[in-house]
Amino acid sequence: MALLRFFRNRPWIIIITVSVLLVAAAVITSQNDGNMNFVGGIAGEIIAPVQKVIYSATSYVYNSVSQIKERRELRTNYQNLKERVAYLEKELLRMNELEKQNQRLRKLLDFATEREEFVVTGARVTGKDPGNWFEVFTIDKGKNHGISVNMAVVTEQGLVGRVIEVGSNWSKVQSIIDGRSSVSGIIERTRDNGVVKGNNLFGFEDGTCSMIYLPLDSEIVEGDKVITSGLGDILPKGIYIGEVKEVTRSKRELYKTAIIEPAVDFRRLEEVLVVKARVDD
Amino acid sequence: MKGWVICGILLGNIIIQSSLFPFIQIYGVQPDSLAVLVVSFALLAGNPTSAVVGFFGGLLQDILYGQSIGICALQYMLAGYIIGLVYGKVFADKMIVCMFFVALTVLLRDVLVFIQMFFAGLDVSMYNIFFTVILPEIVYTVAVTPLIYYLMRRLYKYRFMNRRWHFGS
Repeated sequence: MALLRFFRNRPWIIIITVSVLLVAAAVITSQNDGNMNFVGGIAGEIIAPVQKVIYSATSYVYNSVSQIKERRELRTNYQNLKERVAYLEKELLRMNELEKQNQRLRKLLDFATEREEFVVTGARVTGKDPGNWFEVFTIDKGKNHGISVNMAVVTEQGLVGRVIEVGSNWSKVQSIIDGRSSVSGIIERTRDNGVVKGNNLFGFEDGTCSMIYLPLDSEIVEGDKVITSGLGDILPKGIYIGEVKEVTRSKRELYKTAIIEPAVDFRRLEEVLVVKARVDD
Repeated sequence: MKGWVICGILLGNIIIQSSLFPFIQIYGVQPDSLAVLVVSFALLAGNPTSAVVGFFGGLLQDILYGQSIGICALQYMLAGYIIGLVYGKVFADKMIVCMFFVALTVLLRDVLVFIQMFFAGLDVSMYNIFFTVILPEIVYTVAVTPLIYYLMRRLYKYRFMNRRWHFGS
């Protein structure tokens, strides 16, 4: 009883003790091996199905609202489109030249259908990281569906991210625009290697990536396509990441940096595919 | 009873935050409703309720979305405890009081996250993030505060919510 009274009169002792324990827990769990811990697994099993329902309901409402908006814009679009047809007819000539390049790109885009043996499973996005800082989301498939850590997550548009943790029926995915993510990439035209890092970190919530460590003599220009390089055995080679938006080089740096616009629309992510690096995995 | 109600509120909060809020984002920012809840509990019930709510609410976020467990729990628990200290000393009926503390909580929490990231070696600029993340998040969160605080005050009209918890018992 004396002990109880001692603590009751000094609540700050409890607060400090718990704080120290939490800091310790944070340090320990920050080096986790990617397997979801027991408590996380249980909490996820309970919450994930509810999240799934609410997420699909809200995305339905969101989509119908945006459809009404689109309808209003149709009339103005009609005029614009007419002018555009004339312009496009001219462009058609140029396009024929680009057809060769196009075919190569289409191969990348049809990744899922062409390389079916790589695809582990399709999954639905069930929830997003509630903070404003990072871009981590959960999907509704897990270990039971053959997903394991480090598998790549893609859509038909391109690379989304990689699996960082798996539970039995859900997994956490870190997207490539997350500031903590880095993926090795290659410029499709010039074959220059680089590292694609996310830019969504404090104040750069623009949904882009940066490709760093590009060689200084690299001839990359705006509009070049970036694909995964397959180095490091985590991601399969040749998944489309995005397009170069801007090339910069600061004076002191010994490499070039390119801002990449990812092909995937991270604001409207509903279905994804999980793929593995090699067929024999 | 009180415990179950709080559990329900926290669970409902995380579900709504992670599935509904992505659709009401403005400029990539969504309100921090957990901060509003913690402040509401601090002003309406004081310690230890607010510290406990902050702890479990933060822990839930850590478990589901964090990469290291404990960071959010620590931040929200400290916020709950510190604001809980003013319980009974301010007019809890005034909405503006709650809004002030919510703004303060979000600001301090974001600064903490910033410091944590700074020491993790990530390249960040305080000036940039203040205007693109912290300030919009404060404004947005303060904007949703009246609704949540109103509901919480309604909830605290019930007798069972006013049973006191004690540290160490």
